Amino acid sequence: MDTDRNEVARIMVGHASHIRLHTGNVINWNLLKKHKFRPAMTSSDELMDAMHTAMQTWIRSMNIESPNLPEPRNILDVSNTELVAPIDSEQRDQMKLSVKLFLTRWDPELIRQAVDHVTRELGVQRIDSVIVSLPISPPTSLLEPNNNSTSVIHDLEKVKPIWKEMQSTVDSGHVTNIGVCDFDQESLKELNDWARIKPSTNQINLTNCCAVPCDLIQYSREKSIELLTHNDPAEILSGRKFQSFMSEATDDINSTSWSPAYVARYSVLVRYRGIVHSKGYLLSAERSSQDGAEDYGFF
Amino acid sequence: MGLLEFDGEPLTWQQLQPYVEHVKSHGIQQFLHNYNRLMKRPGDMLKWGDEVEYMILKFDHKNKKVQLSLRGEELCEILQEKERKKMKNLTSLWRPEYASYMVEGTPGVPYLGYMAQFNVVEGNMRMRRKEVQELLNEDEQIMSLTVFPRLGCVNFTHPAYDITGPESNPVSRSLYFPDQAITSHPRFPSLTRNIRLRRGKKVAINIPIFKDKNTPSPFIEQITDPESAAGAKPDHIYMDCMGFGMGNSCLQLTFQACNIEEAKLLYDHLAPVCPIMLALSAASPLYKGYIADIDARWQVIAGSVDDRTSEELGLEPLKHNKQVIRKSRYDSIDSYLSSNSKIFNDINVEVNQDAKSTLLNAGIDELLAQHIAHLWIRDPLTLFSKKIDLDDENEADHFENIQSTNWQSMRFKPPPPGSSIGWRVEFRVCEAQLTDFENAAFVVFIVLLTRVILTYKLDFLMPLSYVDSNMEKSQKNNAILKEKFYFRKNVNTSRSPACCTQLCSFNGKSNDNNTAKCAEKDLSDCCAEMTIDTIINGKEDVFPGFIPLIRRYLDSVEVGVEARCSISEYLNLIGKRASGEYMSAAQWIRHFVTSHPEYKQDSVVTDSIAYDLLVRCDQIEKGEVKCHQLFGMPRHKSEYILANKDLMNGS
Repeated sequence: MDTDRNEVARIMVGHASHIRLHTGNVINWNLLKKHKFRPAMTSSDELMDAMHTAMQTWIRSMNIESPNLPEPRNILDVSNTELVAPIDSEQRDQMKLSVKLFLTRWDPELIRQAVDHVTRELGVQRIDSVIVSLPISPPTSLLEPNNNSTSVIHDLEKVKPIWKEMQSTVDSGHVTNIGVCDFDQESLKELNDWARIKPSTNQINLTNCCAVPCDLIQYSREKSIELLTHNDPAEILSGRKFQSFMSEATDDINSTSWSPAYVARYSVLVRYRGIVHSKGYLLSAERSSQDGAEDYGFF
Repeated sequence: MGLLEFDGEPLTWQQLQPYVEHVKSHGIQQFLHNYNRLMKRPGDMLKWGDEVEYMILKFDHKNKKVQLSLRGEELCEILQEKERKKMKNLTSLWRPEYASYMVEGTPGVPYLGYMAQFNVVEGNMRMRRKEVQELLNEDEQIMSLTVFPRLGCVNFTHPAYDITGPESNPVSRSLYFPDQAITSHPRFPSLTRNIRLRRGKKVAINIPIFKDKNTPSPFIEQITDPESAAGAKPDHIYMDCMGFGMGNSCLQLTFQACNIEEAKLLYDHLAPVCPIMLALSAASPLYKGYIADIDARWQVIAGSVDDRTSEELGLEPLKHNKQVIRKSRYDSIDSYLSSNSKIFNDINVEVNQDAKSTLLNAGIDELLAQHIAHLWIRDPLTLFSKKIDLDDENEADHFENIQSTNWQSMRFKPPPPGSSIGWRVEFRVCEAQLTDFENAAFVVFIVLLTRVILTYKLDFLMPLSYVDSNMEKSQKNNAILKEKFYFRKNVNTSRSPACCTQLCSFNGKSNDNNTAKCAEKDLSDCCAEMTIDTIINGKEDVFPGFIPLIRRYLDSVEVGVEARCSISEYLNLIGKRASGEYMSAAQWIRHFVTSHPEYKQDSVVTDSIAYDLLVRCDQIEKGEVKCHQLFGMPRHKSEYILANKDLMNGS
């Protein structure tokens, strides 16, 4: 019965301190139809919808026949397997797998975790491009508009450890090209001058695509850095939104203890044909160990 | 441009008759040889390109008169020099067109399937214009004008020719369009003459005139020649030869699909899009010096090459001809190609039974066989003496002969023999816009739409009779704002009747499971009447809209800033034309004429009005005059587009 499944889900979640979720392919007409295609849907909306679907599918597909009840674990993997679009290894070369990694913390560890997460979930050895979106800095004053169209000036010292880890994913052969987002010319130059493996792309918000500063265009051309566009809000998944998601989707009592670590959006493009094979989101969230948490038992 | 290679002399109509069946049956053999060799051709990459037809105008500033300059052939000779020298990586290729005041240009190499290419289209079009302009005299201009407003009026060409009656023009017998304005390449006069001979009389094109306050009612043109007078209708603008149709310009788009299944899929799903794009791109409200009550050229061209006899038109009982034929050889398609689309083929399709049997016996699937057999109801209109007996395995002239003289809204093009080109689909309805910006916008829009259809596996199929009904409406005066068009409600497939499910997964396998016959009710249920605005821009809870779908797609692929900027401008143009915020070219032209100080509200476009209109068109094209009614000024900096580097390597 549904209530049983929901209960099991709640218990599983309650036990976990680390949750990893894979939405599966969001490019499918089911999703287009179900949500009545709102033209103004942002990538945050898309992610949230897909997260709900993934969670519902996971709950619905749970096998609750005793003695097959799933065992609660510390790390909970929720993957919308019915929607995951496999990449045929023979056709891998015809595809371009790109990942945009939205970090919520300045933690280089997350990069390695995300790359492993993607390669494992998609069954591939290598990612063609990883672009890192650095954690947003809190606004310095209340008067500063929440303007996601200005590129941020990044402190190179903070970027260095992140970039070092990005470089090591290239060294280990897991990633071919690495890039950044929303870097202005100065920050880009600083990074490019210092880096051992240079950024191959800088993705900027498309509201600016017709007014890109000349210095940035010039510099990128000189250094062969591709300037791409994105249409993502500054923060794709806030802590608060994730917490209310956990509470809604799984009735988790301690939902406020969750905090997302990263969101990795992947897109698989068919080279030379301009067709998107699949696109999906993987996310990882953690919570600190629960003090005074109830001890759940199945039996 | 059709089949331009030839060898020997063109046969006269009489000489051609004994070979009609020869051409038809060998054409089928040629198709079969090609098909068998290439059917299983795997994964071709996306390649695409546009074709723009231009006119050469000559301005007499002193007398405020514009004429069409008959230098097209001469210019083509010069423009084709680089090609003849076998130079590589040309910016553009040139071909002569029907009228000797026209040239047709395409990009030198097809565009490829990566996003940055979208930024190169406009620049390439500009280069083409420049290439021709450099060869023109000071008082001449190249223009991408769909219809010359005073085509067929006295002395509309330069040099001008006196026409005293049909005998002045032995090829067309036109009272208005001189034979000298037909390109002398043997194909064109041959087609003209043979269409007339097959039909038994010259073509008669009648377009409703726009009735203004002082327009005579009934409006009847003074025509002395009895055959012409019999062909003319009251309250209509009468045109009497191929030149009135084929002497118009359009914007065409060809793209290569990855395999035959994808080609069929795109052909099918773009067919319902044709009327929408025709309405959106409408740019031709003026004919033969009058304002018409239509905004687009389609039925004019359909009439201009209509070789149907009275029997085939259903006006006389069948004696010499095999069947009544519903449409001219220039018109919208009559059947879908993929097996899943079968239930939407609700138009009676006339076929050549011999061709159909031959194809079916050779193992061709039913719908493709029907498609070809339908094209094969038309007789060959030209034949050259040294191109009669061919090597069917390696030559395709007879196939191309009939294929290329079926001028339809979509064309399904098999790979030519001896080439690496794959299965292609041609989108043929768009009207030529005044500026390269607009032309590029339409081209890029359609290509993006195909990527969206394939990515989201959208389904636009609807009964073809509805598509035909849309085609009729799309040409009307101000159709964009006044008409509603049938369109499929659910372009995602899960809620539509089970028998209408999508096919073609990525690796080209087709899904034959759902071809059960649908009840009549189900078929019409899948469509709703919508405005162009709704179809293009979407409406909450009604229809997603082409542009929102394209935007969603763009967010999922990697697009460089320059390409994204150009694409944004293009989508903005299309979206605002659809909503009415910007005027269509046709409405703008109409407005210009009707508000001209010399206009007498009698639907007449004088030389002087035409001169002012065309001068303004030229100024707009050159950017000398802003025209906010047609389009806002694009915001992007032109450096992004004109940098040579971008043109050649699509960076």
